[in-house]
Amino acid sequence: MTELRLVQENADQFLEEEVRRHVSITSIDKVLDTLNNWGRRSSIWPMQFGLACCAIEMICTASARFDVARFGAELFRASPRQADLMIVSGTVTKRMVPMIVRLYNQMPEPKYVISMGACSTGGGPFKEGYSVVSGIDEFIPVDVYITGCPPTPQALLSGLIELQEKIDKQHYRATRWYHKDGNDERPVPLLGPDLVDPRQIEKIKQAQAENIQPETPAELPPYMPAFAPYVPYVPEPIEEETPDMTEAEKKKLALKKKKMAPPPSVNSSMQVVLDQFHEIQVSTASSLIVPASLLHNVVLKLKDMGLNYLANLTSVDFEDAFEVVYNFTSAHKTLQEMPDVTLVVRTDKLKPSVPSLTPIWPGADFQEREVYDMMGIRFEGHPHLRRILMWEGFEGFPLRKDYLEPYYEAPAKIFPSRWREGQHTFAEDKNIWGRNVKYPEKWDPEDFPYNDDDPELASLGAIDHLSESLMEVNMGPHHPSTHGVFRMKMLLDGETVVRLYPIMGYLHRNHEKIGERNSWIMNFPYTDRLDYLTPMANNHGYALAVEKLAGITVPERAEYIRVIMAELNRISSHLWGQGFLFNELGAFFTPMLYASQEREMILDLFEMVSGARIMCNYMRFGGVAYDLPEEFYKPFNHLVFERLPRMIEELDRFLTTNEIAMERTQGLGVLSAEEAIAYSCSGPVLRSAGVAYDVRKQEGYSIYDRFDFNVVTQQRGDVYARYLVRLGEMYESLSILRQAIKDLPEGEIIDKKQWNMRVPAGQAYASVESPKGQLGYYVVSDGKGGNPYRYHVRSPSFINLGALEKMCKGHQVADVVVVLGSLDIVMGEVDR
Amino acid sequence: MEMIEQLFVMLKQAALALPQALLPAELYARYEGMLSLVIGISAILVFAPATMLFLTWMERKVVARMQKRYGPNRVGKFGALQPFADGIKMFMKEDIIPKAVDPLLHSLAPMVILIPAVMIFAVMPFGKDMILVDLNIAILFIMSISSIETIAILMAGWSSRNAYSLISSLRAAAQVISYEIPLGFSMVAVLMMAGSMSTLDIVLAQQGGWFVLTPWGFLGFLIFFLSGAAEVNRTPFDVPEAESELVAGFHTEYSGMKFGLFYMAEFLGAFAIAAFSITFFFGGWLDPFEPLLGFAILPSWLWFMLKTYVLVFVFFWFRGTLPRLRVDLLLNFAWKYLLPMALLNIPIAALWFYLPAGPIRWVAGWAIGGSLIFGMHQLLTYHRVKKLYGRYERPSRPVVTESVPLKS
Amino acid sequence: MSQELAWGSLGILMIFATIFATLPIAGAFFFRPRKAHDGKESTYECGLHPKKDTWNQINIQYYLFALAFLIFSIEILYVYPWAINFQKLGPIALLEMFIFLGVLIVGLAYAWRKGGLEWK
Repeated sequence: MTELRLVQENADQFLEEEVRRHVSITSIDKVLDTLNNWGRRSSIWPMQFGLACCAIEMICTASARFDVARFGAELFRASPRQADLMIVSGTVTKRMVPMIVRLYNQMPEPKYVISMGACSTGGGPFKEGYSVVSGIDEFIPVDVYITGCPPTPQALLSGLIELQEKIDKQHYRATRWYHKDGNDERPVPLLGPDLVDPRQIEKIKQAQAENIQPETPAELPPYMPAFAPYVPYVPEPIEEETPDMTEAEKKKLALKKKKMAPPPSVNSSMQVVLDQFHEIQVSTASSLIVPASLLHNVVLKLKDMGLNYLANLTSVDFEDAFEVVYNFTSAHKTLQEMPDVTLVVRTDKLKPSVPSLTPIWPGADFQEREVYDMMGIRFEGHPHLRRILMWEGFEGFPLRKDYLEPYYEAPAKIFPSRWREGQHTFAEDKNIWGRNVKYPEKWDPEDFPYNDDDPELASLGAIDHLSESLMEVNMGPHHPSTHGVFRMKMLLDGETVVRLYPIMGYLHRNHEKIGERNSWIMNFPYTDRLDYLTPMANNHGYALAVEKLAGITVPERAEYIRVIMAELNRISSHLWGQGFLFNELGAFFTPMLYASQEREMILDLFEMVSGARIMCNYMRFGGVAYDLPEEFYKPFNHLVFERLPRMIEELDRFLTTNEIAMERTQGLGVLSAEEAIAYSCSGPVLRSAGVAYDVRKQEGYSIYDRFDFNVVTQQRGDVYARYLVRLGEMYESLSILRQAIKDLPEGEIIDKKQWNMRVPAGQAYASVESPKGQLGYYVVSDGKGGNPYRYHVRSPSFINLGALEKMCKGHQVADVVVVLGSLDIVMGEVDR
Repeated sequence: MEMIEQLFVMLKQAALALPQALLPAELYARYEGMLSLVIGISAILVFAPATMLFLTWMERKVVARMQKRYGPNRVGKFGALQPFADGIKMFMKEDIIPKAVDPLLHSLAPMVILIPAVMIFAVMPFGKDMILVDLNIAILFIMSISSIETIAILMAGWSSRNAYSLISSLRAAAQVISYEIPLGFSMVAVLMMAGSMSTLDIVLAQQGGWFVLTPWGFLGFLIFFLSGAAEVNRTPFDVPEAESELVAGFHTEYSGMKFGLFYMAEFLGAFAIAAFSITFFFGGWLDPFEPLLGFAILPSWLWFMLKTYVLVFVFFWFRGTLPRLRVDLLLNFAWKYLLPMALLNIPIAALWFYLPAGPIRWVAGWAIGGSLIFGMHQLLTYHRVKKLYGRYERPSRPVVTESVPLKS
Repeated sequence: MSQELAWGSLGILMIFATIFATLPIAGAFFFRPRKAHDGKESTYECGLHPKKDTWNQINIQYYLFALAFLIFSIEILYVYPWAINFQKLGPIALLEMFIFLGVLIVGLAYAWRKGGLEWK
């Protein structure tokens, strides 16, 4: 019986299929559908809207090699009003969700959504974080999902074709947008103590009424005591091994010896400070423990000595104290001439407070705000201490060790719960509301203001309302030229910028918190996603920091390969930056597409060695993951010796003396050498001001001391100078590459395969010269767990942004985007 | 040849044949003018959207080629049906009128911008005997009707109640009115020589030689073309639509067909500027080889289209290659460069007129006119050029001594 | 073609052009979807919740350009009739026009010097 019915149904289907195939027009509906669907499918205009790494691949899709224009979809519209398709390309953070939903609401029907990549589909690698939502489809309907992290341009094209096929099947009577009933408005989530879905407010109120407290997980992450001051004259008595000891005693002794921290190394700079200030002690981790009251004096002393560059400022949550860490180095002398100094200031855990360095180093501004945001340490004397990466009103300080994330499962990955008893469960299923979200007692979800703006910024317009004609204009987070989800709030007098506030954190994806849960080696793929244009430099810096801490040596060949990759990456990143600078100038993609064509060539090489275009995950502790394949050399040599020099020179010839570009960029966004150092700027921004500070020369890390290259500098410190510096650096990189490939030795590529390693207790700060500037990694190990105790990234883009207002004041709106383009920021690195 | 030349005139006659056969002779005689006008108008109303469709396709293809891409190629041969797909899509797209806007002005603005863009075709001499209305003050008509665009942009920007729209529309207004001045003055020399404001007369006055070949015509053309590009917001003067700072400019809040009308008006404007540049300076529909050969190679309307599309291509070329000017540089360019140059053009034209005709006029005219233009250019740009160059050490490509290593 | 007829034709063209401009919007009115809601009708502000009103006082510099435009635009109207009849009027009229333009240039120089043409 059932079989018969099945046959019957099949026959019906078959008939329908036949009719569809051979009778093209059956009714007026059919005509309308054909026309309507054909029009819609062939003219899908995406919104110009990129969130994170996937956006880079989305832009590549428009480039010559992939050319989305073939499908008529190259008209990326900046305004949602004219767009048909929203490509959610990248990690969706809680802070960004309200914006995305609002933009989606503002798009006219018919509208489609493509969820591009793992992050927007399901949270991706950042899924369990405190600031990331796991999947955009909880908030807006998605038509097509594309897998990959990030999906290649081909994958996006295939997603587009998938969408076209979906449109083909639609019948206009059945579509959502021709039905009067039903409200299509998607509720906009609110930014409260956490992300609040308005659909769930009843539930929250109930929880509040019943006073449901968050469950505390059984296992809290372990604390570590702060590095003790080293006491040089009373060494801990350790008995010598004697022959009559038992095996157990011998083992115990060996363990004890191993546990004993090595004596700290005191360099000459530290000695100067120690001689002058007797209250200062050296910790077992070779840093100077400075009493809070002395901090300003010590810093001024360092400045006088020539340690005039505040490289890094961060904090660590120890068992007994919070510690604020400062790394000082010299912008003018090499490490040999003037060794760097690490200062730490300890403060108690109940009311943590440290004097602010902003009066001396304006560059400390953002970094102190970040420490306040993440760790809750107050900086006395900071002019506007407020949250920077999370929104104002967010509850809790995420980087404290006792902060429990909403989906917190265990102190370290891999989570045991995922496969318990062979049963796969999602964290969200067990934990719909995020049981660790703490709602403050007085918080009333009904009476809750929209909180896109920090309260202080909301009154920005009222600051100097002497002149009524001042206009408040907001740029971003969805804006065609803020390089992702950056936001600037400006006060304009006519078109002149009077004040400018950079607002960031729309791509804050808890990099550092995840880094503390990951095992050491698991952090490599995450570093790729910091500055997603320069994965190799990111890998390199992280490897250096951990190698420094663990004392791992790197074989010769691996060092050369690392340098080759880092320099290739510098060229590819600068090409992108130069192209985009011209885009900001309004050159309608042409220079950018030419530059990205060369970049594709370099990406091919990366794909050859690591298997991935932009997320290479290539380096390992003590070497690199794979050796160069045999087929690598030919395209490499062609590229480095012939093609790239020619093409870069071509870009130089056409762009450098373009009169409009010169007119617009010269004298714009000027930063003097003193200012650039004071703002802790690095990379081309610093070098364009005439400071020859390049970590490759200054530290000579890896094997950079073997190569003959110049540090490219310019004197004027404006946008044009930055452009010229980047241009010169590409030439220098080519020169390094030529030297490196000639000297490339044979041999091992990795010291020893290290999958899950233990790193001895201690702290280390290592930096590399990434294309954007000084990229530093600060790691602390407790010597016990398989994961870092503290993992901090000193990102050049983030700190360079500190000088943005300084550079833009007095210029025009149109210039702001150009200045921003010349900083060449990448939001993944700014917000981490 | 004559038949092709008169193709459109004959088509019109053929269209008139039907009412001629149907209507009584007396009635037909009375309404013949009216009927032929209606046919002419219909021709323009077909021509305008067709041009716009073709131009959108052409721009996308040309820019794509400049960027080493294919451009649209999935619908129809060479993606030729792309504009139709876009049109259908926009037609079926929801039209949003945000709550905050002034709904009347918001809805009127796209129509107000399109009507003059279409009307300007009335005085365009497409070919011999192919002009809808031979107005005796056509140039004034062009000037006045093209400035209505400003009002429409202001309407759109102000009514949207959106910061980007407003700034953009104010910029656009400042830009369009500023460039109207050099645009107007650049035509004075043409009027002096043609002695008429009728576009037809201006074309016919160029039978002895295109105006662009004379020093005043050359300068006039440059000023007219650049100012025209600024009038219709083409790159490098597309400041009001500056995507990199102002989202989508004054039409940020427009969706669906209303946005389509803005799009259409922009392309029609670009076409009109190219066409009038041809009319005033490149002999309009005149065949350049006819005086030499004694017969026409191509019909006049084809010459007109060919010449116009060369200039339209130049517009697209600009778009594909040039960065955008900043708004203050843009206004400086209008007031402090183009306007003095346009004023200088008047004495040059007068000088040309008073020089004796013949080779002397060409040699002396170009010598004196050229040096005046060059001198003025130097005077106006001296300050800026001195500012621009020097002071930067341009990085040079390091000299490569080694060759490709053999190991590979 | 008589000029009355020409202007009449332009009038008719204007009516047709108006119809031409209205037609797509009117046509789309019957076909397009209508799903308005508060979220959709809110003002676009880079994804933020719109709060501010832009209908406030506008900077003076915009008006300065409008004034300068007004002056020069009217001068153009004076120059055009002269330009058409230039060949008939002879050198004296040319001289007079130079004086007229001279006054204009002085005005331009004054505005230039005073910074009236600076975009701030």
